[in-house]
Order: sequence, then structure tokens, then C-alpha cells
Amino acid sequence: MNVYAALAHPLREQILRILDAERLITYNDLMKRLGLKKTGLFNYHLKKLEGFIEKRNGFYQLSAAGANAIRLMTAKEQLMAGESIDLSEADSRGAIFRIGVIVCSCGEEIHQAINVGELMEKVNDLPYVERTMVFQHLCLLENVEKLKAWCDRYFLNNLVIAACSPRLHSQMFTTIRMQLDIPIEFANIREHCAWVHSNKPEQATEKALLLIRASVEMLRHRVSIPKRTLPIRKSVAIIGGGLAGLEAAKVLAQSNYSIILLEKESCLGGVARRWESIYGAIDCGPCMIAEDVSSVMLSGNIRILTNTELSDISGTIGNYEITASQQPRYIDLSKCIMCGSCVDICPESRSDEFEHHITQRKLIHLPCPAAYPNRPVIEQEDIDFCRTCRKCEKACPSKAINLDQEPVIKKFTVGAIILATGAEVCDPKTLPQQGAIQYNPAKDIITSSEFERMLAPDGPTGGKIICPTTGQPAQSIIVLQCQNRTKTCSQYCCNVALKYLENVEKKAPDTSINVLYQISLIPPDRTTFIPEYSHIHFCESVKISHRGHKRLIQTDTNSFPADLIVLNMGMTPGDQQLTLRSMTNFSLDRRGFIDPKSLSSGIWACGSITGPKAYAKLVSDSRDTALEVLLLLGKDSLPAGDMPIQINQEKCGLCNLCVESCPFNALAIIADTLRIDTLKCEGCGACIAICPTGALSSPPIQEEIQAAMVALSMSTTSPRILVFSCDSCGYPAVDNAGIRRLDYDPSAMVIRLPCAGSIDANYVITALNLGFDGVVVVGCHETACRFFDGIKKAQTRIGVLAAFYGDELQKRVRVLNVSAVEGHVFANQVNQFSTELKELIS
Amino acid sequence: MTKIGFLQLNSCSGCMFAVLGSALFPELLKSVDIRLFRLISDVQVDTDLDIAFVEGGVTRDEDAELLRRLWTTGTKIIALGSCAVLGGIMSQSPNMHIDPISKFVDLHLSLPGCPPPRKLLGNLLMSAIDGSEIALPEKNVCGECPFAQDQAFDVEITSLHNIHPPQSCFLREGILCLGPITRAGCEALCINGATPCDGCMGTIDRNLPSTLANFFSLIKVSDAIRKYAALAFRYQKPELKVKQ
Repeated sequence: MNVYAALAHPLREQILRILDAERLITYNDLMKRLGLKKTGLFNYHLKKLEGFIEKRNGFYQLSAAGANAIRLMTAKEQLMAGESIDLSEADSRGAIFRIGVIVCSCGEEIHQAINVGELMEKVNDLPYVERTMVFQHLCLLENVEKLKAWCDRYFLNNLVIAACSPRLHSQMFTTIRMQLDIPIEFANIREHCAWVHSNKPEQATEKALLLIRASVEMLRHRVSIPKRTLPIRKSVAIIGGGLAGLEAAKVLAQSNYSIILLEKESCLGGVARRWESIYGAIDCGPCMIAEDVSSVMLSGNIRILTNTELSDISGTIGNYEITASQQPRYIDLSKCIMCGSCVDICPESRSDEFEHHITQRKLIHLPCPAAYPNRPVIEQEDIDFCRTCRKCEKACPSKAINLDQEPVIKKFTVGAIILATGAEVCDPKTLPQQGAIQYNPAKDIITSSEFERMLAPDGPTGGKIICPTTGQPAQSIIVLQCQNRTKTCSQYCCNVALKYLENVEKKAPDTSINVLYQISLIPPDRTTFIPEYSHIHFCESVKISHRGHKRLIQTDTNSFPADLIVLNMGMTPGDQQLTLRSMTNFSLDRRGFIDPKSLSSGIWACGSITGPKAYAKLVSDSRDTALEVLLLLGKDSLPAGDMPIQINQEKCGLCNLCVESCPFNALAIIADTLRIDTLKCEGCGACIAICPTGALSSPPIQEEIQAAMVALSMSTTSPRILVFSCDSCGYPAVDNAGIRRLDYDPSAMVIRLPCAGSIDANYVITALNLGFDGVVVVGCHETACRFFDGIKKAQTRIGVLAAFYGDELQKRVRVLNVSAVEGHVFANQVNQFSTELKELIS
Repeated sequence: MTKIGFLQLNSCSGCMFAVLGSALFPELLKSVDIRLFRLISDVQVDTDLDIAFVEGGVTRDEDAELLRRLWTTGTKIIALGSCAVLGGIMSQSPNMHIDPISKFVDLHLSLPGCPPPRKLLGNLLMSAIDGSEIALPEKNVCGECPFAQDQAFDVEITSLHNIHPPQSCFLREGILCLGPITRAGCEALCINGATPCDGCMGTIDRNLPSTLANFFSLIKVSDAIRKYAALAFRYQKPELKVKQ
């Protein structure tokens, strides 16, 4: 829309001027005014003015762009005449305000305290108010249609409804909002006025007028946020190919959406690759992995990439761009026939990390027994040597080995992301030291991971339970529970102990096995309850002792033979959390695992990444996550949150105050830029109050409050009291005073805020500077604040102001903690405050 | 040539010395006619100035009269330093009342800082030479601080002073730093010199007591520090106008 092109023709200029003067005009009248006889020419010019003029119900009017064009013309004329121009006008956005005011008399209720006739006269005189109307009962459904018709008839684009509390008929008012699709502001002239000032009709009427005026002013400063939608791509990336990732993939693979699964290692399965069996399940770990993989691969819409690690996430829900780096495997998966010639000919060996360095493996090797994909791999640290040797490359019959492969960067754009990178089995060297039994394979003290491999028929001992030092069968086994770096329950280790009891009984019935719980190690958040049973014991202390050549574990009550001691290791957060944190925002729970609720919208986490779980819990957790993702992908688009928060990056010093203040983790600094997740933002306003530079602002909240304060400051009562009330407990409490018809001083007028935490200390100063004699902040009780610490923030701010300004301020500001039913507290406090202020100002 | 004067009201001359030490001062000497600079010259002509740099705040009627005389005769007034812009250190005095010069005259430009930061002062002198615009940064000091990404807001603040070179954000070490609520432009000079920021550049968006109150509602401040009112009025003492 080129305004200069539009204004280029004198006829079009004239059309705009006429519309500016007449506001509304019909087609015929406009044609007459222009002196045109032919419709052809007229229609041509009207078409050229598209965007600058609007037609509704047969009347033409200027659009916002048209109004701006008029301003441009006026400014040009002034400049050409040599005048200097002042572009600051009352409504500098060039918007046209046609505000309608509805007063609902609520039957006879309002009339009893307020002179409605006088009120309507005065409301009609308010600037920008185009039309007013009185309804008897706005809440009747039939009146919604009447209201809509009325607004259309008079081209009203803003509406003030002065009636009962907007909290009462919230459904009705939501319907009105949706049907009318224009900004609406509510003035509470019943609960906050007519019902509580019935003995002071003059002041009640004035207060009603002021409340309506405040609403009008708020609408005049309202910035309409264009409704944005976020398109949703029908694909999901699963980061991590362990049991959790595979379980989620199983569910998602049954849909039509495409899945990308990234696994950092060279084969799938994660921690479960080492599990000989899983308690309560039939399959062993590797079989379970194979089962999951095959059911996932049956659906054609999944791509599995191994040796691939996530390196970056950017974008937003529905459109996440992920970058991953794929390390070379050096073997072409499609060509390799698994003949094993490469492994046979390889001249070098290393200790096998998978088997806890007990055995050796060649440089080119299968990552683990029963690996998927079942193909060899060469590790990065060995490739330099291999490139000098190259024997395997020559020996391969299908030319599947390429030692010169390079890492590749891969990029994908997906609609949702599931983080399933798991946790780590606790490193025994990090166990607390004092008095504990230390990990030492040279003394036959091993971890549960090593014991699992011992139980496995394809493991380093061929499935025989032996003492590593002697190689002889172990006659007695002790399993020590709750072995973890921190005192938190890993949830699956009790099951592991039961599994060991079953296993040993089957495989080596002559071997004695005892499971010991040391009470001081049992974490307070334990989830499983194992009763004392024949081979399960609880004790205060454990100590190693000897009887001849035999080793024993001595507890405070008993002693057990202990040829082999197994430390049943818990789980700790994985190191990859640090790298993940640089890519996306989340916070950790008190155990150090990712809190799934803190992740950005469109990113989920399942499996032990959010805390270790027993197998059954892991399956249900992963399935729940997959279902949530399915719900998202089933939508074509989501409405972007409509919180009117603006970010000016020029003013942002990345101080993190706003990030810290947000109870919902909706703000994050990513790549040196402040970002807001509009779908997580609940509009409490805490961030706006805390931002010291104004980088984070919300003109609708801040400017509207300022406008409301100015409007209410015109009160002629004495004293003048401004009340800021939070929407959760404060406003309902004021309503409650109304419902109970408790009289209080009409000089108290309420401005409604989402949370006491959004009360900028500056509002208090501004209020006092505007002439208010006192300010009251009404919020929740500290323990009941809906936004966690909003009321505490407000209390602190006022306390600090009082400390700086002293008595002068201290005596003029009150903070009330109320619940929604404590209307009497509000009424009493206001009356008391009013009396005190009267004394102060006299 | 542009006629410039350097005036000192109630001040310490620190800003004047900063001007003298500025890399742009020699250029200034060559390009403009300095008619008044009592620190370096006995010439006492304070009339017919195009631009007046004013250091210091107003405590006497004579100072207010001088400012108004200059302003009404068309001199462009530039407030130099925190005293002129905000009121300055004398705000802490219980005996004397000091006002920023904006209370009496309209300002052409203003540059806070105690003293004004080197680079911004250079820009300001440049603008006197060639009429260019200067813009004050709108970020807070965190935007220039070497420890910016290392903040912690959950450590109780118990101290105003630092003893040893900082390893991390002062707030993380329990030392109050007003960096988050102070205008940037100094390149975190004090912080790089192992001293927490004390807010000499003034606040950016709102008055100091409000900004400080908002800030204190997020961090944990010990009672002793919270009651230390002088903290708020180190460089300015905003008045609370309450209708009596």
C-alpha cells in the first residue's frame, strides 16, 4: 500500500478528506459530494484506495492507514507553509476510537445506590465515547445479539461494560468477547460500587463515573496484538536411542508422522545393553532392544542415525531446527555383510570399554554383543593408526570399509523434540568415602554393571559367576544396596536386587546370596518397599572382616560370607545435560535431573533424563510423552500466546533478572538474545516490573495502568485512596465485600492487576505524585500466592520504599493479605486507613 | 568559532579534570573558542556563550540565576557528570539540599557519570566541536560486565564492599553490585577494577528508589543493607511529592 500512490490523484485526496470530515458516508452521498456523474471513474478511484478506506453496512469510513494518510497530508501542508510540526497527539497511533459504554443496571440493583440518569449524561460527555446504552440484564443470552447489533450499527470498535464483577459471568463475557471481537474493558460498578456505597449515593455515582472513565482511558491506550499462529510441522526428533527413546518411537511410529531418531553411540539401547535381564520382564536387555527396534523399523517413516550427536536446537514449537554432527563409522552399513574378516585381520587390540576393560577387543570391533546396527565400528581415537595400517580395508570382500570418511553435519526441521538421552550409572569412584566399602575389582568388589555382564551367557565369563581375582566360582555373594553419589532413590535398584536373587537361585543354586540395606544409606525419597525376607537384610553398619581365608561382611547384628561383593549402583545425571543446557532452556530439580515442566513448549523429555525409573514407569512415561507429541502434531497450527510483551534487544543488557523472576521459565537468554516462550507465559507481569532498563515492557499493561491512575486521580473525595488488587485473591476479596454489602469509604478505587508481583514500585510513587493520599496493595496470603512469590515481591518493594522515604511514605501505603472470602478484612482495613489518612492530611 | 564555557557549580572539579585529560581536549582547544574555564584560566567571562558545560549541582540561588541567565540568552546547557545530571554526592548531605540543573533549565545534552566515562566524554566533546549527536547507551552495566553470564540471585547480600579480585559476579559472592540497575557506558570500569558498581551513571528507565525496590524484591538483601538509606541517595535524592 503506497500512500503516495494513493494520494497522487486529487480526487482520491478529496475522498480521504471528505471521509475524515464526515466519518461515515454512503456511496451515493460520497459520489454526490465529489460531483461525479459516472460510477466507472468513482469505482476506479475507490479501488485504488483499498486499504485506506473500509466499508461496513453500506457506509464508508477511513481505516487506520487512511487516518495516517490524513495526518501525513496535514503534516506536509504545515511543513510546506514553513511551520514546524508537532506529531505528538493524544492518540498518536492514528487510531480512531469509537468507544461504546454499556451500563447494566442489573435490574434495580444499581439504581438503588447510583443515579443512573445522571451517570449516563456524564458518561456521554466523556471524550471518545460515541454512544451509550443501559441494559436491564446484560447477562441474558438474548442480549448478546442485541449488543453485537448495537456495536455494528454504530461502528463501535471498543466497548466498556459497566456492570457486575467480570469474574461472575466469565463464561458470558468470554462469549461476548469472542462474538464481538473488539477490545472490551469492564468497570465493576456493582460489587465495587453500588453494593458497598449505598448510603452515599452522590459519591457512589461519582465513583462509577470514574471507574468507567478509567476503563475508557485504558482502551484508548490499548495496543492490539495481531493474532499470530504457529504452524506445526508433522515430524518429531527423538534424541537418544535407549529404551525410553525406542519406546516413544514405538508409539509414534504407529502414526503417519515422520520420526528422526538420533543416537550418539554406534548402536542403540543405551544403558539397557548391559542388562542381562530386566526384573519382571521376560526378555533380556538386548532382546528387548531388538524387539523395540524391529517394531519401530516396521513403519517406514522413521530414520535412525547412529554415531550422531545433537549439537544445536533453534526455532520454536512446530518448527524446531536441529543440527547434529555425525561421526564417521568408517563402515558402510549397506555394504557390510558381517563376515568378520576385518576383525580377524586387525593387528591391534584395546581393552573393551563395554566389558569394563576386563577383556580385549580389536580396533575394528562390534560395539557390543547383539548390537543394533549389527556392524563393526572404529573409534575416533584409533582412526589415525588405522589410516596408516589399512589391513581391514583391503581385506573386506565387499569394499565396505572407508577409512577416509569425514564427520558430517546434519540439519533437520521438526515440529517437536523428545529428549531421551538418559542418565548414567553412578561411577563407583565418586561414592562417598567415609567408612564405606570401596569399589575394588582386585579385591572382588565389583559394580552391578559388571555383575550383569557376568550373568550374561555372552559375557566375559560365559555366564559363570566367578571371583574375578581367582577365576573360581563364587561361593557367596553380597549385594550392597543404595550405592549412589547423592542420597536420592534411583527407583530400580530394589528390583535389580530381586532379579539377582532369582537369577542366582536359578543359575547357581549352591551359591549363597544376601542383599544388605544399610539404613543410613537409604534415601528419604525411596519409592519401593521391600520387606525383610529370607535373603534381604537391614542393618546399621557393614564392615569387612575375615575368618581364616574366608572374607565376611560383618553387620551390627550378623555376619555373612562374602566371596564376591556387588555394589548395586544408582543413577546420576548425565554429563550431556551441560551441553543440552547450552542449546535449550530448562531447570533442574533438587536431585539434579531435568524438570520436564521447565522445558520449552514443543520439547519433551522422557526416561531417566528426568530421573531414574523402574522399567514399568519408564515405559508409561515414554508412552505418555509420545501421546502428548501426537496431540501436538495432530494440529496444523497453534495460536501463539497473546501476551503483549515487547522485547527491545537494544536495551537488554542480558542481566537475567527477568529470567530469574519468571515463575514459569518462559524467558531465556539463548545465543545472547532474550527470548520469550509465549505459550508458557501466564501473564503475571513479574518480568515487566523487574526489568531495570525497559527492554522488557508491556505498554498495554504499563500504559493502561498509568492511564487508569490518571483517570481515577480526578476523584473529588477526601482522602483519595488507590487500591491495586491482584486477580487471584485481592479482586475476589473486594467482590466479596460487595456481595456481603459491607460499607466502606467510596474514596477507595480499585485497579486490577494479574499479580501483586507485577506492581512496579514506581506505580506507588506515581500514585502519590498524582495526588492520591494513600495506596493499598491487596494480594494473596504469602503461602497462597498463585504466582508463587508475587505478593512477597510487592511487600518487599514497599518495605524498601518505606525504608528510603521514611514516615512520609510508610503512613500512606498499606499491604493487605487476603483470601477470596475475606471481604470484611478489606472493608475494615480501608475504613481504618481512610480515618488515618484524614487525620494525616488535616 | 563556537564559543564554549566550562562552569562549575557545587562540584569537586573531577569532571573538569576528566575533560582536561580527554584525548579530544587538544582537538577542542584548536576547534572552539573556550571563553570560560576557571580551572585553567583566570578569564571570568560568563556571557555570550554558545555552549556551556556545567559541572556540579545547584545549592545556591546565585547558581540557579546564572543558569537561567545563560539559558534565556540562548546558551545551550550541557550537564556534565552525576552532580549536574542527578544531584550528585552532595545528595547525601543532611544539611544541604542539592538539585540537578534540569530543575532550572532545559538541557541540550547530559552525560552522567562520576566522572563521565572516557569514551562517552570524548563523544560529548566531539559533539561540541562538530555538532554531532550523542546517544547514551540504554542497556545496564551487565551488558558490559566480564562476569555477565555468571549471575546468581539467590545468594544473600551481606556486604557493600569487595576485598579481593572477583572470581565471578559480585552478587554471587554476596556483595551488592548496582550494575543491573545502572546505565552502561563505562565499560564496567569499576568492576574491572575489583569494585562493585555503585550506580554513578544513574538509572535508565525509572527513578532510583523504584528501580532499587524492584531489584531488592528479587535478590536476598540482609536487613542491615536494606535499611542503609544512604545507598539509595548516593548520587541523587528524588523527592517524594505528596500533597499535604
